[in-house]
Amino acid sequence: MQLATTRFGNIEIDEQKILHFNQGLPGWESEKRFILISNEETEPFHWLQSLDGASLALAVINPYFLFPDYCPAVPERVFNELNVHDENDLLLLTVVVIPQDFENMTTNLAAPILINAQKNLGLQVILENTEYSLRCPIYEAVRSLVGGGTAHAGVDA
Amino acid sequence: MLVLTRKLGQSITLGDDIQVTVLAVEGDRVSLGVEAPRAVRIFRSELLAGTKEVNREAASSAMIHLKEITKKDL
Repeated sequence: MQLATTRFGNIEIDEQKILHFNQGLPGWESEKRFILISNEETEPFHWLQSLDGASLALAVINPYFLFPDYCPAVPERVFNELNVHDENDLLLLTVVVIPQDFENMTTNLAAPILINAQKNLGLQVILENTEYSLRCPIYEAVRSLVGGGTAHAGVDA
Repeated sequence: MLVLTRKLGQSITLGDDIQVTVLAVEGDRVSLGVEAPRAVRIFRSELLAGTKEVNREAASSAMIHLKEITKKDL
């Protein structure tokens, strides 16, 4: 189906991949349907695009690629809400803030987004007793991940 | 806001099945124990406000330069 978005224009999406966030997202509790948009060119970043609000799209990333030791304590109730029995069946992504000075990009490790891709369910959980940061700097880790040496960044800033 | 004063070891009850107990007081830090059904979400308040703020910023993230950042050096 066609989806009109502010960021990506009109895009073709697979209706089978629409994710239902029954609680919406903190800040947008009434937006319940999202789709994950991936683009090989901008990996490891992906976008969580709202179907109900064309202008709502959040950049997300798999934090394990950046921080292999990331070990969030996911509350048990989340497994019930997402209809899974095994933590390994969940996809975990964290929200990324990319400011104009993008070297200051950060990700929210204290409130990861969890997705059950099989059942098309998702939610953003605020960890209960966490030392993880709302704004963890990721630029260096991203550059290492994509194998960049000297950053090309800074062009046309 | 309802204000209640509790001593160490005392608790307050919310609704039918949520109990908050003062476990320890050290200087300006208070340790609270929360007993609640598994379905109840519990987290530090500033994290909800903080997450909303971060989500808002993320939604207005700069899209430009992403390809520059993720481009692999040859």
